[in-house]
Amino acid sequence: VPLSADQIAALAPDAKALAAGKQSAAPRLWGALGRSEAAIWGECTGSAVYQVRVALDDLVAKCSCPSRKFPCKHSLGLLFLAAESPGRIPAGTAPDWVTEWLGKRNESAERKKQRAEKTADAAPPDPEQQAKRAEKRLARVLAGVEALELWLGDLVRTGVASVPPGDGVWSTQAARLVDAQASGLASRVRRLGYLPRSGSDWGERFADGLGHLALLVQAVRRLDALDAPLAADVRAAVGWTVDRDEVLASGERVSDEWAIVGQMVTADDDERFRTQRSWLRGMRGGRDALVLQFAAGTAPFPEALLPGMVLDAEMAFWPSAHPLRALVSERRGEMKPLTSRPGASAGPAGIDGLLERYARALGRQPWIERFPATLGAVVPALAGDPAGERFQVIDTDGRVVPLAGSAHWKLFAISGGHPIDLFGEWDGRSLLPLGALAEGGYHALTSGEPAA
Amino acid sequence: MKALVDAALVGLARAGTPPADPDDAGERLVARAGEISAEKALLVRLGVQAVRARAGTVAAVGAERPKAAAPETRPLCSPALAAIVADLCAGKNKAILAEALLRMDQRGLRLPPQVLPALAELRAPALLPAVTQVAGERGRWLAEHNPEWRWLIDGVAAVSLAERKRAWEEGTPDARMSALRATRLTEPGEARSWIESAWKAEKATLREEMLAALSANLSASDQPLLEQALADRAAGVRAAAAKLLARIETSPLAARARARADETLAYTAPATGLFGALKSRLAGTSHGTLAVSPPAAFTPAWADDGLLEKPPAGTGERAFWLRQILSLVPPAHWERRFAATPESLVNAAVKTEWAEPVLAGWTDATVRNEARTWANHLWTARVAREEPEALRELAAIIFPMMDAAVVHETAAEIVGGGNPQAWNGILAAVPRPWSRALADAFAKALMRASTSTQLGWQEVSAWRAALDIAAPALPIATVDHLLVLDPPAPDTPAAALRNALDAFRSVLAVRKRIDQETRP
Repeated sequence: VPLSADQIAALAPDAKALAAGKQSAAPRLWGALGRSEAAIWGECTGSAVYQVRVALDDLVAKCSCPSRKFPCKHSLGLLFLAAESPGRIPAGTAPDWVTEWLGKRNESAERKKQRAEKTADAAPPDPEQQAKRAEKRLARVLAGVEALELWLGDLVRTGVASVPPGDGVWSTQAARLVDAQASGLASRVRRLGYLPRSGSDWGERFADGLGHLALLVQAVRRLDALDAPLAADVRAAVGWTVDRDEVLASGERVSDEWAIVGQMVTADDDERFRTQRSWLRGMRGGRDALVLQFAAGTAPFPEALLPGMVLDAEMAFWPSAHPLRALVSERRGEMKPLTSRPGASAGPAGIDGLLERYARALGRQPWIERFPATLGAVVPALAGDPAGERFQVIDTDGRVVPLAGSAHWKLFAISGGHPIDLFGEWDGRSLLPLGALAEGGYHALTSGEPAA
Repeated sequence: MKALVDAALVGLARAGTPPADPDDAGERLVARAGEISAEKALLVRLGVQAVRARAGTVAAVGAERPKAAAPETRPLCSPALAAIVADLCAGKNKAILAEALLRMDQRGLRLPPQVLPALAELRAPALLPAVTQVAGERGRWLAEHNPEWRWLIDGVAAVSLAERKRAWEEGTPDARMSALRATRLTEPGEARSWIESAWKAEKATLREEMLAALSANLSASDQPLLEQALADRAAGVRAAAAKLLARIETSPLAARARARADETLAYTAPATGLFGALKSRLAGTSHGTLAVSPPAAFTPAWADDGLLEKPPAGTGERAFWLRQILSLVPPAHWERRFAATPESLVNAAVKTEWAEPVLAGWTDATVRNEARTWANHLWTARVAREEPEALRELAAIIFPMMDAAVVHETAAEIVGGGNPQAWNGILAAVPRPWSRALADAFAKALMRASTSTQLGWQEVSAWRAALDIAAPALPIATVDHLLVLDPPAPDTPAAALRNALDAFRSVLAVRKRIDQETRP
């Protein structure tokens, strides 16, 4: 498995497990090591002797230890050991405890598939009942939207600046929208509430957020008049969800070799809930896809997506006027390291090209918040005094965009003034770098590492 | 757009509806919404303009591209070694990091660029000069772009005199003192003038600290300042000034100190000739004899030279005065005065009833004057006299002056004694890497301890400290058997060492991997 230490780190459920995993990679702890086409395995001596196995296609691990963390430190240790000294893991015939586990995994995957097909085939439980429920929800949302519109009207009549700082009106209004089953609108209102007096250009940023919210309010009241894909975007932005089964059943499917070009994990305030954003890009077709995954506490994300690896897979997209969100509907074989810019044949990768694609996408779907950016042959440079730690990138035509945040020294170091390929998120103002390809090697930039 | 934003912030009620440009495509779009309230119209106009602003972003042009870094001349280290170094940069054990960089430098390797920012951020001059080489051309390039990282290529002198002067004038107390000490090394006169101009304004504790900085590059030019300090209000400042003046041979204080000390010691060389040598061997005086006459009373004028009259509890006054008197005289004085070697003088001193204060006074003077030839003999004498307390204090200051081989030999002997409490404070001062003999003695003692059934809690805690010190110091060729050492059995006293042993072993394992990754 040609995984780097960074990529294995991205699999760890938390910093403690990661540190313990590195310790568990000591060769003296391991015996009965082996590898086959499908898995690697070994016996690790900890408090007892544990049987550890890792499937090579999706890097799911299984260990006989009682740890409730997945993957546990022994599984991480086996991956680190395989990465550091692959020579210690000889090809061999898998023992029973490995083949049995692999067999069980196949069976349960098969069962899952059958179940999915069954649900897809089965008629909805009671169409009449369902339509009634949908109608009821729409009515509630519309009532919430009505109230929101009145409140927004009041806000601009008396002036946003007249709301005292730290005032509870934002959270009150957000809570009302949650009650009206419009959680998407609620979080937009909550985010607006953070903006007043949050920096010199807060007025601009506030007007931007307020404007997008106002357009959404207009759109949701005319949901019937919109094209189905755009209506789906509006529904998603308001708070309606489309579940995975539906996406599997009717979403657009695209097969390609998908490069995982960037990843970001965020945790809520008390770290009880983690969200992972992974950007994928088709090696041949240059199609972008966003995979969102959620996990409670230190539970693993269901799909192992390692930044800097390429996955042969079929993706299913959520309905949208500019589809980005997707899930992996079928993965085939092991991941391979990314060594060249994905979708290089699909079009120019300069800054002007990015801005044009972004403009066209907004024309189709004006509420896109994060737009995937792949830039070829750009040079990162300091913007202003080094002490300010602000950076920008310059493309071969001399076009410049600022980078979001500060202290992108790692990116700067990787390039050394030479052109590199850069992956990130563009929001119309600045680019948040997530990964870079330099001299044929991928570097994750915003940490895929678990929070300490 | 600006007018719209202002209207939303100030409020339509006060700002009024901003005029719309009928030729603007976005405004025409809003007009299609038909008759709507002024508030709603403003909101929709904000929305349309917000989307247009995002979609209409135009990239700037004309930024200057940084000059590309020069091509590297060294081969890249292995990814495994780069990962180890990245971990070490984030970890606490900087001794291992220094070892890794040194090994890489010896092998002519360099680190990959992505590791360099974390390394440069450490700003650890202790890693020089290996770090400069290992960081390669990319490190040089980064240091040229980030002034904070200049140390990577410029070393310690990175900070210019002007910057140090500014730190001295405006910095925190710590920054001021380190600027002063750094300047004293390269521009001693400049440093002295800083002290002179700050002297009156500063508190006693700081005056004392400033004087201590003069210890480096001390010369006769410092005499006027020190004479002034000798009349200071604070006793601590007076004592610090006296210590320094005593080292300046031409100062009146040094002359007074010599005269005072000369009263206390008299030396008779061993008899010469075949018969005389035999006679002195029989009498145990083959190194000559030292007559010690400590002062019977404290002369009040001595206080002006920084001497204290009242001894701490448990010390006799005459011994206390004697020790202080001797500490103010450079040991070389005795070699000249008595025409004898340090070895003879130390051995003669051991035989006297005042051995303890004489050896202590000479040790103080040896440390202050960095009298290398005296250090070995004083250490040997005090080991022989089994003075663990004195040794503990001595080790840290005297080891760096002694031959490493002598230190290793003596440390191996002490470790061989098997009592970790006796090594406390001594092992830390032993130069690294340890000799094979010392490593073997340590390993043997460790194996004994880990199977011992009688291990007090004091010994356990002494072992914890010793393991911490030994982990980076053992020569890597000697650790293989320690890596596979069985953990102590759960029901033995040594079980309390389990965590410390695990940490010890994991440091050794990292060092072992560094060694493997830097083998030719």
